[in-house]
Amino acid sequence: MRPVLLTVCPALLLIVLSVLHLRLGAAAMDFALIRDAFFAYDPTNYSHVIVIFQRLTRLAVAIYTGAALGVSGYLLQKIMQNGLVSPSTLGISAGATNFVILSVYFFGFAGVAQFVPALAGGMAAVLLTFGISHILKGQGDPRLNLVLAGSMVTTLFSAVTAFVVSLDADAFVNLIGWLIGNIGNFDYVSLAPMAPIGAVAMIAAVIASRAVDILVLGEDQAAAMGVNVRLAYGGTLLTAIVLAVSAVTVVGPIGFVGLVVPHIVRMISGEIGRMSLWLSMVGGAVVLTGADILARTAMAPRVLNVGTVMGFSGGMVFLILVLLAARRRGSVA
Amino acid sequence: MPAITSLSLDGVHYSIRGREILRDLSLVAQPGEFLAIVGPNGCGKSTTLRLMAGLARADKGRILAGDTDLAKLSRKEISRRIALLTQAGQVPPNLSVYDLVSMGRFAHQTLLSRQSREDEALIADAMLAMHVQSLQARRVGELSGGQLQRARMAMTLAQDGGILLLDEPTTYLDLRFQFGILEKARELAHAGRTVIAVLHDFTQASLFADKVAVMNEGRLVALGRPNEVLTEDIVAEVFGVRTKVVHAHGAVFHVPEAVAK
Repeated sequence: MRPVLLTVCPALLLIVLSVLHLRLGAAAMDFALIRDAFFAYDPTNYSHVIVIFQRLTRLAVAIYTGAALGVSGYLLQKIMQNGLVSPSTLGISAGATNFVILSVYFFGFAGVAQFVPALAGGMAAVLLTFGISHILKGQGDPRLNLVLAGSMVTTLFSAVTAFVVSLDADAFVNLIGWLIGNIGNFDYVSLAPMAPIGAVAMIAAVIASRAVDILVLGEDQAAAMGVNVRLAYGGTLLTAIVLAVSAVTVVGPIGFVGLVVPHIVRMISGEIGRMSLWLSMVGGAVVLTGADILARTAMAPRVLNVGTVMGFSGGMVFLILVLLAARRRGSVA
Repeated sequence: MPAITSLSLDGVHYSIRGREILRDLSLVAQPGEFLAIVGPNGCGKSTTLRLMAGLARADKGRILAGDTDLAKLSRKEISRRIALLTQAGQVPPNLSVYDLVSMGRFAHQTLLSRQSREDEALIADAMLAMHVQSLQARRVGELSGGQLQRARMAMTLAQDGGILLLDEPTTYLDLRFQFGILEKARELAHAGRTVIAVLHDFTQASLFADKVAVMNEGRLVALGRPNEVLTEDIVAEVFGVRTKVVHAHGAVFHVPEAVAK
């Protein structure tokens, strides 16, 4: 019974939020109109165009990127056994953003091709973060050190990003929203090629899920039980980076989804098994869809950046998590 | 019953970053035998166990399960023959006891396979053997130290290897649970398996093990029946403490000379 409820209820919540997402905005649409836009689409009806080409596309982007970031954060927190890590706090988002800006400035990269520098940037950031936290080894709590290293890396990459943008501000005008983390009106164009990459990464996460569960028992114990530790850890890390970077490529560095969602999931279903993976996916989509509804209604008719909404609400949750971790050292935050 | 073989080290050398940890170590544990390894801290006991479980490769020499060199087996093939219970492993608090024990079956499953009837039967047997079947729905975080160690032991039993390696399985446990774990280990050995445990308590080693290997500075100092090996001279040589030995109730007791009356 419980597994059925856990499978169905979050999905229902996402459907409800999705309908609200389509309905709410600068102009509220009633349900009959939304239904007509889906089943009796009239290209000359301006409201229908808004529902399909502004709201539905935006909704698809929110659902995909939320799901990708939720699963990415869940995988990272699980293999590192650290409740403070996520694509944003490890520097992955900032690294990906930085490499994209560099690729635009020096090589004129555009569109989907930006996934390549974004992936390289995400991986470079993780390596740097690991390297710095290794230097900090032996001082203080290793879990906080990793996040400290991640925030150093984020600061470093963001500074370079800001510098490059300042060199030729006009060239980056179209990227300002993306830099803050935003769902733009044309993001669905880059979503199309990212979604299959994300789907492959999700399948990899499902296949590796049993081995990664056992990894939580410690490297030696897992290896003695038959887990190829390097493959399970490395493969999962790569999967998490690919998912996060695919989201960053579409919407920019939206933070905190990957940080907060795994905590909620652990409270509901623990951190073992495929159910937790499913909940991270749907949970991420729910959180980002919710944040996007807020972004479009809080100061309507003005539309806020989703990155701003997530940054503000997520930042406060992060602060609380750090305080809790500092108060009860030894257990996973 | 799993296929049971002996486990032997044959002239094993092992070093980490140029520092020699094991020197020319040769040792055989036979099926039906409980072998205890004792020695001072840092003598290489735990490293020996890691090598026996195939977690590290010897620089020189061979490690054999029966006549098969572990170096020729895949990770899962090794895990189907040899199970290891590491010292103080971490366990996620939300995990149920049943889920923990069922993880022991990993080496027998393929990536996408679900739990088979055989898996379920072995998980049930393992929980029964360690008296944790009544705890199976409980979360690991709610267990006492003794219950947790029994659950971890059940996980190791579910792995169904003919060779069982235990790294200080009684550390941090109350006396009653220490005896429970060691008694089980001896029972498994006498039922036919090859059981090797790193222990730090001579009295426990003498009470439960059939053979004792004494290690010092990466070498084997002595190997034999407990009362042949756990002598005043060997203890003085290896641990640097003069003791008086007392044999009583089938056990060997060492009392430091400085406090002996």
